[in-house]
Amino acid sequence: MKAASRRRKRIFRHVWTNLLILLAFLVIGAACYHVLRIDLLKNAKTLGTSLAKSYAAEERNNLTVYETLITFGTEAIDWQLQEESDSEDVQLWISMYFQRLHDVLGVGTVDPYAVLNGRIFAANPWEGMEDYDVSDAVWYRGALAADGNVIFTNVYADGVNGAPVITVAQKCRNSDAVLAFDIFLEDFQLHSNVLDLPEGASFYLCDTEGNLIYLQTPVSDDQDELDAYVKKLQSQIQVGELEKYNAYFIDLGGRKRSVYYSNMPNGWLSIITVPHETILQELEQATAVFVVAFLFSLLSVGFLTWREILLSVRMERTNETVTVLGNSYYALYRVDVRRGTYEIIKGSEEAKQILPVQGRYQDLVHMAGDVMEEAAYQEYMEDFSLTNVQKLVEQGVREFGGDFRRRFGTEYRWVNMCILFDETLGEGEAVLSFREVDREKRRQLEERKLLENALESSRQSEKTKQAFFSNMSHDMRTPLNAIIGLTDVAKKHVQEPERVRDYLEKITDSGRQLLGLINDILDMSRLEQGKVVLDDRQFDLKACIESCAAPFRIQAEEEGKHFCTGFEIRNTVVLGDPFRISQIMNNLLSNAFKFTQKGDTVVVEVKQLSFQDQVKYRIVVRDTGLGMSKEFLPQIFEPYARETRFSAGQVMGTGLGMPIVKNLVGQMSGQIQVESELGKGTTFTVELPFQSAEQEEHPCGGTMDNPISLEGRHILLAEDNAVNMEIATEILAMNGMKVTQAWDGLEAVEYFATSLPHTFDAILMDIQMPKLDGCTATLKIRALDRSDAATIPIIAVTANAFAEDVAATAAAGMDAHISKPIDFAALCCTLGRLIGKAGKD
Amino acid sequence: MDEGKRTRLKAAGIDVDGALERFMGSDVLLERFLKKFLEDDNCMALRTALDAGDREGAVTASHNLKGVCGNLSMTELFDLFTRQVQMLREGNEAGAAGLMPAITQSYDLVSQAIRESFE
Repeated sequence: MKAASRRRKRIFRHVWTNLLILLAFLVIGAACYHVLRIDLLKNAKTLGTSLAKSYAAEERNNLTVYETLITFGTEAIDWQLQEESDSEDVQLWISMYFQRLHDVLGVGTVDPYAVLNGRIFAANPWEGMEDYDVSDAVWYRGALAADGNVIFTNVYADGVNGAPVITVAQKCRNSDAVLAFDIFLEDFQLHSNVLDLPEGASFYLCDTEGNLIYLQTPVSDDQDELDAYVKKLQSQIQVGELEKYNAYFIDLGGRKRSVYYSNMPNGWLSIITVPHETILQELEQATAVFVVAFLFSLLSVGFLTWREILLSVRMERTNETVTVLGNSYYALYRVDVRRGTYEIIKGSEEAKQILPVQGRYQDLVHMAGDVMEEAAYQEYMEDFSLTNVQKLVEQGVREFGGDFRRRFGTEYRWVNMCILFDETLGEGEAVLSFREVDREKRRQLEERKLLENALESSRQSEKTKQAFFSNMSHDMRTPLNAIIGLTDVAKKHVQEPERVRDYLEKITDSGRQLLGLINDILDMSRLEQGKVVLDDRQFDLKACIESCAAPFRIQAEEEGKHFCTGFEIRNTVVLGDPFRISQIMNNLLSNAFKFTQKGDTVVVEVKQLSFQDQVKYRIVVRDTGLGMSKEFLPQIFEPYARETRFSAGQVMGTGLGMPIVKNLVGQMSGQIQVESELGKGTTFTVELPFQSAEQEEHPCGGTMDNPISLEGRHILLAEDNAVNMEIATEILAMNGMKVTQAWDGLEAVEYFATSLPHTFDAILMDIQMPKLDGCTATLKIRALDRSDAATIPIIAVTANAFAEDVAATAAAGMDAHISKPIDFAALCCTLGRLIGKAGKD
Repeated sequence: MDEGKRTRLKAAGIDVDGALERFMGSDVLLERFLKKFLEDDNCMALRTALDAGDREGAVTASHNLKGVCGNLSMTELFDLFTRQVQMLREGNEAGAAGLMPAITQSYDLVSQAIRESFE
C-alpha cells in the first residue's frame, strides 16, 4: 500500500511539473502576444499617421494650387483697382482671368466668380445672380474677416444646383473686391496621386464640421450612411478619443478599426482607418498556431501521464515480484567481470560488515570463501576465480554454480551459490547470488540415501530370491525324488502289501512335505502382494491357541520335549482373525520344535495388556533349543533367507515361516520381537492388539487363583514423575500397602541396598528415569549379594508397551511388565501372584 | 463430582469414568491428581527440548507426559504423546515437532477445564 501511494504521489508530481511548464509557456505566449500586439498596433499607428499626414500634405499641395491661383487673381485685381483702371477694364481682365483658369485647370473644375463693388461677376453666370446678396454668403463674410488671407469654406449645398461644394475665397488687400472659386466635390482633385492603402483600409478627407470631402473606402457605397459614419468618426477624433495606439472604432460592418488622422492647416482632417485584422493578421495566425501547439502539448501531457501511470503500475508489480524473488536470496552482487569489480545489491551479514558497497571482485570471493566449509573451499577458489569467470563469459555460459555448506554464526547450513550471465545485463556483467537451500539439500540427500538403500535392498532381495530358488528347487527335489523313487520301489513289490503300505505312507509324507513347501511359497507371495485379507470375527483367543498347541503337545511327548502353556488373560473373547492367529502359532511352534531336541523345553505364555478400550495380548513362545547366531537374527524375518547351518539335512523348510509371521503380525498392527543365543534357545514375543469383545469378568483373569493378600506389604516405588508417583502411592496405599518412594533409579538401588533383607515385598520400577534407568537399576539390584536380590519381584511400569521395551525389561531381570496407564487391578493381581510365588520360593 | 464438572472434563478429552475406575471411584483423588497435573512441567521441558533439537530430552519429556496422561485417562493427549514418542524413537523429529500444535491445543484445553472445575 505504501508503495502504491508513493507511486501515485510521484506520478502526480510529474503531472504537476508538466502542467506548470505548460502554464509557463501559456503565460509567456500570452505575454508575447500582448507585447507583439502593442508593438504592431504602435507600428501601425506610426505608419497610419504618417500615411494620413502624407495624404494631408498632398491635399495641402492641391489646395496650395487654388490658393496660388486665387492670390494671383486678387493681387491682379487689387493692382488694377489701384491704377484707377476703369471698371470695364477690370471686368475685362476678370473675364480673361477666368478664361485662363479654365485653360489651366480644365473646364468645370472650378467655378470662379468675383464680387466687385457689390456686384457679382461669374465665369458661368446663373439665374438670379443679379439679386444674390453676397453679404449673407459664408465665403464672402469669411473672406472679409480674413482680410486678404485665403479662406476655404466647409462643404455646403450649392445655391443653384444643390450639389455639395466648397468655396475658396480671398479679399483684395486694398479694396473690397472678393474673388472666389466654387469647387464641386465630385471634381475634387486628389485621386491623382493616392498612395496605396493597406488591405481593407479607408481614407477620408473631411472639413472642420466633419463633412466628407473625399473618400476611398471598401466599407460602404451608401453616401448618407458614410456621411453619418464619418461625422461620428470626426467628432470622436475631435474629442481625442482615438488618440491612443490601441483605441479603435467600430465600422459599419461591425469590425474594429484603428484610426489615424492628420489635421490640415485649414482645419480639414485626413483620416485613415485600418481594420484590426489587417494589422494583426500575422499575429493572429501565429497565435492560432501557438494555441494549437499548446493544446497538442496538453494532450501529449495527458497521454504521457496516462502511459506513465500504466507503466508505473506495471513497473511496480514487476518490482514487487522481483523483490519477492530477491528475498529468497540472502545475498546478491553485481559483478563486472572485465574490470574485476563487484557492487553489493544485497549483502550478507558478513559482507555488510566487512565489504564496501563497491570493490574488487577478489575481496568478495575471499570473503565468501572464509565462511565456506573446508571441503568446498579449494574447488570454489578455482571455479570462482576471476580468470575462470572470465572464461565462462567467453564460453557464453549462462549459469554457473553449486551447493556448499556455509557457516552461519556457529552452524553450517547448505547454500547455493550461482553466477548468472544474461543479455539484460551489460556486456561482461554478471549477477552473483547466494541462497540458503539447507532444507532442500538435506531432503535431497535423504532422498538420495533412501534411493540408494532401496536400490541396495532390491539388489539384495533379488540376490536372496535367486539363492532361495536354487535352495528351494533342491528342497523340492528331495521329497519329489523320494516320491518317484518310492513309487518305483513299490511297483517292484506289488505283491507285498506290508511293504507297499509302508512305501505309500512314506510317499504320503513326502507329498505332504511338498504341499507344505508350496503352500508356504504361495502364502508368502500373497502376503508380499498384500492380497491377504483379515477376516475379523469374535473368537476365543485362549481356545484358539490351545487348539493350535494340542498337536504340538503330542509331538512333544513323542520327541521327549517339555511343552507347557500359560495364560494370564481376562478377556478371552476378542475380535480378530483366528485362522491367521493359528497360522502364526503354528509357524512359531513348528519353528520351536524344529530347533529343539529331546529334553528341551518349549513354553507358550499369553498375557493380556490393558490399553484403554483396546486390549493388547502378548504371546511369548520360548524354547531352550539351538538358538541362532547374532549375525542371523536381523535376517530372520527376511523372506527367502535361511541360516545355512540349519538347512543341512536335518531341517526341512522354506525359510518363509518367519517372514509370513512377521507379515501377518504387521497386518494385524502388532509387533514381533526375537531374542536368541546360540545353544541357549530362542524367544519370540508377539504383541497383538484386539478389540475386546466381552466384558471383563474378574480382575485376575483366567488361570490364576486369587492371589494372597496385599495388606501390609511394603513396596519400593521408583518413579520420577510427581503426578505418577502420587497416583501410584495413593492407590497402593488404598490397597493397604506401605510405599517407599524413590525418585530415580539410583535412589531405588540405594534404598534396596541399604534396607534389611526382605524389607520390601516388591519393587515397582519406572523404566525411564534420570540418573539410572529402570533396567540398569534392576540389573544392579539383581547383582547385589543378598538373599532377596534374586527373588524380589520387580515389576516394570512404563508408558511404552512396545515389544522391544518389554523384551528389554525381561532381559534386565524383571518379572513382569505393567504398562501405563496403570491398570491397578492388573497391577494388584500381578503383585499378588509374584509376591506369592516369591514367598513359596 | 457434579455433572457440570464431569461434562466439562469429558469435553476437554478426559475419560472421567476410566480415571475414576482407576482411582477406585474416588472423586477426591481424581481432583487431587488433576490439580497435580497442572504443576507438571514436562510440557515446558518437551517444548524446550524440541526447540533445542535435544532428542533425548524430548523423548524423556514426551514419555513422561504419555505416562501421566495415560494414568489420568486424558485419552486425546495420551494418543498424541504415544504417537510422538514413537516418532521420536524412529528419529522423526520433524514429525514429533509437527504434533506440538495439536498437543498444545489439547493440553491447554485440559488444563483450562481442570482450572475451571477445581479452582
